[in-house]
Amino acid sequence: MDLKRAYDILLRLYPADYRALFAAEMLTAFEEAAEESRGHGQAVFARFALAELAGLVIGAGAEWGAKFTPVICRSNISPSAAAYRLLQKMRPPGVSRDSFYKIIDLVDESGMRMSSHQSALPDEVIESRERVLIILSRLVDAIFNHEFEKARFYSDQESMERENLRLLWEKYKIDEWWQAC
Amino acid sequence: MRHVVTQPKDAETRPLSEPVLLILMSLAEEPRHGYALIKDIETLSNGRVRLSTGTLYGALRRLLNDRWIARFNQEDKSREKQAYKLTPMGRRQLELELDRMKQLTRTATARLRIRPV
Repeated sequence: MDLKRAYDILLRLYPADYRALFAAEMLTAFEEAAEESRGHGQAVFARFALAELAGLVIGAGAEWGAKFTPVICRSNISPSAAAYRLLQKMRPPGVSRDSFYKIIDLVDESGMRMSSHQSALPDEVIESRERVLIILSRLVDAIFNHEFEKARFYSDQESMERENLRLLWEKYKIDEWWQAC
Repeated sequence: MRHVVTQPKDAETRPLSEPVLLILMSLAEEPRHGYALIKDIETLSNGRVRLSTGTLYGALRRLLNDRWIARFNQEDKSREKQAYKLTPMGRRQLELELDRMKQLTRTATARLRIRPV
């Protein structure tokens, strides 16, 4: 499995400003850590790989959650919590349930906070955000199944849907609404 | 002896999460970049905690926003190996957390000395 490629694809799940600031550093740190883990045997490397990929999905969910805190009011669940739930359903083939949940517990440090705001948002914004989460879950599933062509397709879909969400955000001036919350 | 537990007044007085505490502890010694932080945190925790890069950089982003840490410019390093340093505010937060932990330790030690009837 080309782990660096999978990592690079999953990095695209993060918001653009976050990627601009950290993506290159994260990839460098990941490569150094991967090199070291490889030296400790296949089992250690497999655990490392799973923790890293799951950590990216949870981390991306948390970053979008931090960005969209007011956006998530209506659905009563944060994007990071949603990503976590989706991840729980995606145990990769060949990985025992115990190991998978243990690793999820390890990476579940992203502070999934619920918003106390109860303001309503336009339906199309909520629907677009849900589409991003669904595509994200398919992307992760494709990566876990080593289907990289499919993963690339979902990655492109996710970028388009995220751009659509950004335009909706601008359309409804959610920045201003956010500050008013 | 009466022990008074006070409620946190704001985010700055809440107990730190373990990854944040370990990151601040690591940076208290010297500025470090991502992988060096992962390794040092593993050492600090006797191998118990190994942060994934997703968890580490999520915490770094929040710490940068809170201005508890800052980017540290190293002339001879590439952008891909950005180092981070503790700010005076971050050092103060770490000291507050250590004081809180010391108080808890004292309380727990005192309670352990009381023999059950």
